[in-house]
Amino acid sequence: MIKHIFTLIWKKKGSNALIMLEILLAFVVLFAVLSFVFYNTDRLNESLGFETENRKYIRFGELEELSDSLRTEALVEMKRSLLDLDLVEKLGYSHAVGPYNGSNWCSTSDELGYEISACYAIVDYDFIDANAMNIVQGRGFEEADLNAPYQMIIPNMTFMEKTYGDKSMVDSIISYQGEESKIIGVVEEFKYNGEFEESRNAFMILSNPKFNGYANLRNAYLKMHPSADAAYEEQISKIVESTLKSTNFVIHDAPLLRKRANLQSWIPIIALLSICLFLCVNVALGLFGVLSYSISRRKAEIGLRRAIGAHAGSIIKQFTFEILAIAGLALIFGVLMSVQVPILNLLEVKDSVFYRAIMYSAIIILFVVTLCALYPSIQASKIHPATALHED
Amino acid sequence: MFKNYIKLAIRVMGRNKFFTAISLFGISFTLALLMIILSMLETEVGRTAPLSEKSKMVIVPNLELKKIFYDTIPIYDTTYLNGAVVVDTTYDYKPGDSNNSNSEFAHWFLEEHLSEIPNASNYTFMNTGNIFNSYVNNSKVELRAIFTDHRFWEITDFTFIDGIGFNEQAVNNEELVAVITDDLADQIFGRRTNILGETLTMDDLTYKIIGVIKPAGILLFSGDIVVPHTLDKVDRKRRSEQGFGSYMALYLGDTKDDVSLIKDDIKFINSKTEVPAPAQENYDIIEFKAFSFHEAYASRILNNEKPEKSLSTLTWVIYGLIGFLILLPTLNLINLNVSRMLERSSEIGVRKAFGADRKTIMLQFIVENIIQTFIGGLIGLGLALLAIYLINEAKLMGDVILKLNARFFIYSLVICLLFGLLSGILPAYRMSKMHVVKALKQNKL
Repeated sequence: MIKHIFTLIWKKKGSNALIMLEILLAFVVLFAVLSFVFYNTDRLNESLGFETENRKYIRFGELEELSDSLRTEALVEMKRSLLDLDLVEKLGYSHAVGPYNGSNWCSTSDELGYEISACYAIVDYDFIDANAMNIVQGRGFEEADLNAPYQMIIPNMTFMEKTYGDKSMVDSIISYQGEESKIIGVVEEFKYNGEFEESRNAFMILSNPKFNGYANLRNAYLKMHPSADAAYEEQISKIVESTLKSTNFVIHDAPLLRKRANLQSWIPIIALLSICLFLCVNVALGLFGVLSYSISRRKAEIGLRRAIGAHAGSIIKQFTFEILAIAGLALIFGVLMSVQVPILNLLEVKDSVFYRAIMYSAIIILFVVTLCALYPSIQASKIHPATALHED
Repeated sequence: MFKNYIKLAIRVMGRNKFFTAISLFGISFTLALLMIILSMLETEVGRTAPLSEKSKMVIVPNLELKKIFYDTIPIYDTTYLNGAVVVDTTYDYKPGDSNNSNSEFAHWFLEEHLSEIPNASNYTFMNTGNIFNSYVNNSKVELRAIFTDHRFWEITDFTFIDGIGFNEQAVNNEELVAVITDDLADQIFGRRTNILGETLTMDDLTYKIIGVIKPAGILLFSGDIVVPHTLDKVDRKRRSEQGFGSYMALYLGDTKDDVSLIKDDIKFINSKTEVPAPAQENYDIIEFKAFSFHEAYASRILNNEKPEKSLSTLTWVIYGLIGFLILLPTLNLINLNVSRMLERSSEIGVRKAFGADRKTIMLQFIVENIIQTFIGGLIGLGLALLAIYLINEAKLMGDVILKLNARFFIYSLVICLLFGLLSGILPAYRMSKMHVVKALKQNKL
């Protein structure tokens, strides 16, 4: 039976080669798109590390009109007056890097053979509390830490695991960027660029007047009471304006920022998936057309087989196997090609992403091809042998 | 003759409605997708307002100050000399740690070093990153300001709905004048026209509106209020500093060839420029690079620090995407056409028997296919226009507003033609090859 099917395929090798090429291409496109989608959506289940519900972020632009000491004073004053408002519960500051503002500061240095590589945010002692970050080891920053002789840091779990393995390093002092730094705690996660960001080494460094000063604080994070509405924002705005003596600042709704950031990652995914869907439908329709046409041309053959006693089932089986054999050949080529990506480590992405993409692409293609072959072959099997034979 | 082909093509399409529907579905969606990509490219990098002369432009985006510390690596070599061990030490110097700062320019730095470029016919300095808060009728309005000079209006070609841009005098005299987009006008005043002379307060300064423009709708200019740079309070304080700020420089050449000349000019100026005095303590290398508009754009899209490389990467990505997008539907159409060949065998047989040569038959089928493609293209154009309208309405691309122009339609036409040819040649060739006897044997006239 198998030999027979391959003989049939070989007899029409010209047009079958074209169909094979089409299936191969469809597989490659599916593989690429699914890899991209899996790579991005895999990270959605991971925790963000901080809360955005009921939070408002204030970003101040350049405040260079004030001298460093005046700016520090203004920011301390601003915090006090904002916390005096009924509906503002907590307030933390950070330098330019922080949740959802698109900035990144990263550095790598060598510390006694350990490679200390991390992206860092410089924050004040209320930051962790204001953003409800989850501390898994040690403790968070406290006001008293400002008097410590070290730079105080809180890394995330990813950093600890990648750098030190299982060893607990809480209360150890390491050298980071030439500063004696004390690890006082570890947070679960700190994906400040959003859900779609790959979990990477991240640090929070306590903003200390002694080391980096308050003058460079650029963001404020407010935890609001749930009853604060949009109109309440104007009150906050007035206080910020009067303390900073500038309107070069923006107040953002954190949930909105998060939604917008997610939307930006979803748009390419949805665009690619819909293009992919269209290509699949296109290929399926084309295949369906070609198959139903070529099967209807083989009525004589069907009639003859039926006349000498073949079941409807065996007719269906023959046609479906024929096209599945073609698709199978195309898929073998496709898999051999695409499996090179994880094997040769062409991209720095987890291998499982590609293997899953290969598996799902193959399943989708086989499913679509079978579906396209079934209907015309069922139609063909219903033909009465007498009619079929009479036609020729 | 062509009239006959067209008639025939339409008759053939009507004969088997199912196949025609499948073909048209593939053709129209493929072409619609290509047209949307085309519109994106045309909007962002094509010759569209407000930056119609993109191909003649050079951008100097940022300033980098560096200091590299060299590690001294001693290398010990021991050899025997006259029976005794002798140690020979050599030193190797390798770049180790570095101090590195990278940001846009302060206006004074650009004015001092980068305002006289021999090959540039015009230039402007602009600061596009500022957001100011303002409350109008109890609702928040974010003012995204562009600080710039009068030459900005000469280099760009914004569509003015009302009024004009500010002139040199206004910039020098620090006149409080502003040009705003009609979207912003609508937000603040509730109307898009008749705004001239109204006032608007931004960062404690009250500006008089002297012009209303259409939003730029491209990635580079995300701003909706344009004011003289002399009113940039923050920048004024930077006079005595290292040279960092938030301005970038844009140059315009007379022809496309000037781009590389301007780039060379800036390279030369860079080699002569010293690190600004306040920064000399920390840095000893100064670097600012010039890029063509497209290089700068690609590096912005890919978030890549190397604009030269990003441009080629982005180009390949786009080619690859378009390639796959065309290849699959083309193959699909070829498959359909090839399998339907026999449908027409009797016709081919008769024509051949009456003396038609292969070329004529090939031409006929190609023309037929192109006609089919054009009908699909027309549907595709409708779909693309609808999609572009929806994308713009929903602001799916942020500030970018997809535009349509004559070039877009011409390119679309070319794409249809190419697609029709690509998918038509192989089936047509195979049909024309069909043997007369064999063709006539399929006796279903």
